[in-house]
Amino acid sequence: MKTSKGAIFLPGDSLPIPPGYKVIGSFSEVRGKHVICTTITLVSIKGTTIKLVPLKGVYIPNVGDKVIGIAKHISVDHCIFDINSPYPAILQINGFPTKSQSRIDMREQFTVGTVIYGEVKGKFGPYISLTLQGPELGILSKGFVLEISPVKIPRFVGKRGSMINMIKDMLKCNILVGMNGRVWIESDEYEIIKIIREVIDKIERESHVSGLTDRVKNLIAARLKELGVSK
Amino acid sequence: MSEECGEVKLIDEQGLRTDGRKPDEIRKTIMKVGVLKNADGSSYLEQGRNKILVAVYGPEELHPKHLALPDKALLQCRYHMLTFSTDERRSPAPSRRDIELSKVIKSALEPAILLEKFPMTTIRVLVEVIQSDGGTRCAGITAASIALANAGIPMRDLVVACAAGKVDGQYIVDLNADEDKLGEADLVVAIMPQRKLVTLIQMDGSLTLDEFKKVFELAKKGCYELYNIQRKALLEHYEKVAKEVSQDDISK
Repeated sequence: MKTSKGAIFLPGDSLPIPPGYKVIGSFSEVRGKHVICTTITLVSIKGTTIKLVPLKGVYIPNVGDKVIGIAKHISVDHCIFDINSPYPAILQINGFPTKSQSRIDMREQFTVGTVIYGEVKGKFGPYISLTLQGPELGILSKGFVLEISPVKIPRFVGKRGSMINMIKDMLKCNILVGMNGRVWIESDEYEIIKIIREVIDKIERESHVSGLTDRVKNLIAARLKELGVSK
Repeated sequence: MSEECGEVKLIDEQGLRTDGRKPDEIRKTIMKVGVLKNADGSSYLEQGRNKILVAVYGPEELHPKHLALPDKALLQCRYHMLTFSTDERRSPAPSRRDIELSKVIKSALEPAILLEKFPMTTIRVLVEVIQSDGGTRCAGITAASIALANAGIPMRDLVVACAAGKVDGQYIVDLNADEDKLGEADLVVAIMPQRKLVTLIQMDGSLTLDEFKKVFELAKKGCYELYNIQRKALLEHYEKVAKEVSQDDISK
């Protein structure tokens, strides 16, 4: 299997697709036998797969995405959330996780600033429709919300959750990841939040440089050592 | 080319221009990206004595909503010259020229951006001229294009702009303020270099068809030189991190 290290491509740059190769990744256009990058992209070739990873981009919601939203407008029967996307999201009563939906007043459930972990259900007019029905979904009552570039979320999670599981294990905290570039952390210690903030900054800056998981592991270990926690 | 006080020579006997450049030489240009933390994308450009800062926000929700386009994002551009950007103090209020150049920059960038990916939203490009020495619209377009790329906005290609013109009977590229004011003609060209498409063409003065072709080729040559600097600035921004990381690893 032939593997090549990633190269940075700029908008308009094209790459020929050899016969039998497939292209994985967003923010690109396939034109005939060429793939054309539309954003600053890290291109790597592994075997017969050309992988395109954008280094910067905005969050465009897809059905099934789990997102972290912040309430910004509340009405009797619906609530509008900011989901870090160009499109605001709406949660209607039918998306609420209770059977007696007819008796719900949204104004009693949410205030401006309430944080939720919801799932994208589809579109509703100009809004993105959300639901809170599902495991893990609901109102996040305590914890911190940190932001990361949405295109770096796969790097934050890692292959089969390797990065996030390592962070959870080392820092003994609960983390929920929204595909919209928001990360919710539940921990009693403020120092842990500070370490995760530092980890996020490192991922944002160095996601295109190989060996990131090891560097993050070393960073957490160093910070824990400074705090006097043996690992 | 004559003024009341006498003849102003823009090209000397040795064929050099007022700032010592050859006719086909562009000004010394420096470009940087990611210079502003609070904007989604940003860039800084120095072209001769021109200093330009660009910030890009979006795509984001558009207010007022009635401006929203159902099939694509609305590109909003603002070109603005700071009060201290010229020899004499400028009013901070947008002038007729600022409004016109905002529209010109928008027209030059629009064909390159995949606006149809973000219907009902807006992308805002804010061009601030800190110091001006002619050719700020070209510099604004060039800087805005890399700021858009830095913001992660999908684009068909980068956009680069350069002016060329006729001064003292000679064809020159990348005109400075004096050449712009006193020259016979100037032609502004913005192109998408990889796609080989022209997104803006604007002319002042008069040229014959033959002269136009020569000036256009010169402007295009200037565009490709600036395009190389654009690419270098964008690649350097990301490769710098990789170098720093590898140096950290070596020092460990």
